[in-house]
Amino acid sequence: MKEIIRLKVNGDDYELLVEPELSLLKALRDSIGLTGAKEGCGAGECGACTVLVNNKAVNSCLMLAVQADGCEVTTIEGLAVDGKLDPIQQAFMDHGAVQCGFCSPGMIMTAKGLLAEKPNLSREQIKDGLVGNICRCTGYSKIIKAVHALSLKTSGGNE
Amino acid sequence: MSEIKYLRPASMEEASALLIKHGAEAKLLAGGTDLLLQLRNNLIKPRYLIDIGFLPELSSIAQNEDRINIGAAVKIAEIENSEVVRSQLPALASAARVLASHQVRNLATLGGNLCNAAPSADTAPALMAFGAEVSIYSPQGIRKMLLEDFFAGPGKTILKQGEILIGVTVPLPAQGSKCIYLKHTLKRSMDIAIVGVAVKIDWVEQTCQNVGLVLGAVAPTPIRIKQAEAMINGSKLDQETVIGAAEAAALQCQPITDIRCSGDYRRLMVKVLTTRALEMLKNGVTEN
Repeated sequence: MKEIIRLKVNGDDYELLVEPELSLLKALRDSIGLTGAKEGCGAGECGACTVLVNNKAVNSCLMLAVQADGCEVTTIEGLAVDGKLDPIQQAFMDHGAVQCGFCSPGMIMTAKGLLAEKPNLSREQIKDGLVGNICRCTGYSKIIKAVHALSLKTSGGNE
Repeated sequence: MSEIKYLRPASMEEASALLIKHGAEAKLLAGGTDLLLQLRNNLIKPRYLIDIGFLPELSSIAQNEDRINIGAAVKIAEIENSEVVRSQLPALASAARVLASHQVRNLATLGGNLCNAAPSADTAPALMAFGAEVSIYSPQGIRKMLLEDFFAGPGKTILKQGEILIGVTVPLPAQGSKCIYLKHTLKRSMDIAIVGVAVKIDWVEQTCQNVGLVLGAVAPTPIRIKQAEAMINGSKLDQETVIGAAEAAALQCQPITDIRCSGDYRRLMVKVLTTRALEMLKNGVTEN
């Protein structure tokens, strides 16, 4: 039996009619048309579906849309403001941390969630923070470098 | 047309009443990180999902006098980052930190981890080593028991129809109490434990007391190794005691062979990790 949910996505208000078993991921992609979040595994293992819900990074494939009623969701599409990239997106570009780009939205949203909680992260903390995000192309090192460089910049260069 | 109805009760009473009304057709939902996978793989076919993840009665971590209460709907991430848990129950914070991933921890709940009752559940060994109790809600009232008596087998707890886990109560460890949780996995992370070891020791004038030694992932449920605890209690954790306790732990566990590794390997790792945990506690190291 369908439920009405009301949620904010990237600052915009949405009212959706959803089946209870619809994942937040499918609601974002199919009902709203925000296809940045990807279904890599559908099981919470790969992180390609990562979005922020109330500022916390979560696997949107593991949340039901009905659980997001009343929540504020941020997807990769919501990061850039007036065409200006988020510092994380800029760091990924500057450090060549994107190849095919499939994992990138999830990587960036997880990094955003991590840095929001702790702006000053060591390389080991970044590696631990990104264990839930799989990348097939880059071998991770430039992704870690990008996030670390941003972390150092934010903390004024003090590690 | 969807067969499933989503319900969000406003109280424990309402949740329990719905659970009883719908019986085997209903499942409780909190974080959903285990439930949704079971649903998608058709391992369960509920017609009603009763969401208790938002109930305030289940959502807090609080230190009262001589105990710490953690609600069943508290997220693993909250346990990981809680000042109370990190300062008073550091092995539980360590366990929370190695559970799955950052994203999963922002959804998964303590109650889910315990009620899903995987033998490898990360939060169980440390909580059992601390002597934690569970509180269970039923229409007849609230009942309590030791966490070590809560598990009935792989994926099974003693919860009866209509009962809901409210949370855990952990006695505040004594001054000079030290604890550790070590988790052995095949990969660096994003893996369930193939062996988990939690040890808690109260140090009183360099002598061990009130020892809790618990193994995860090597028996149908997480298990306390009382023989090893008895060996360590009253000792100064000398080399002979460490060896004896590690051997007792290795003997008492019942590890299986599965796709991850053999039972023999698990048994060997129990010995290695128990030895390591005891030596780390002796040397005052509590972070792995």
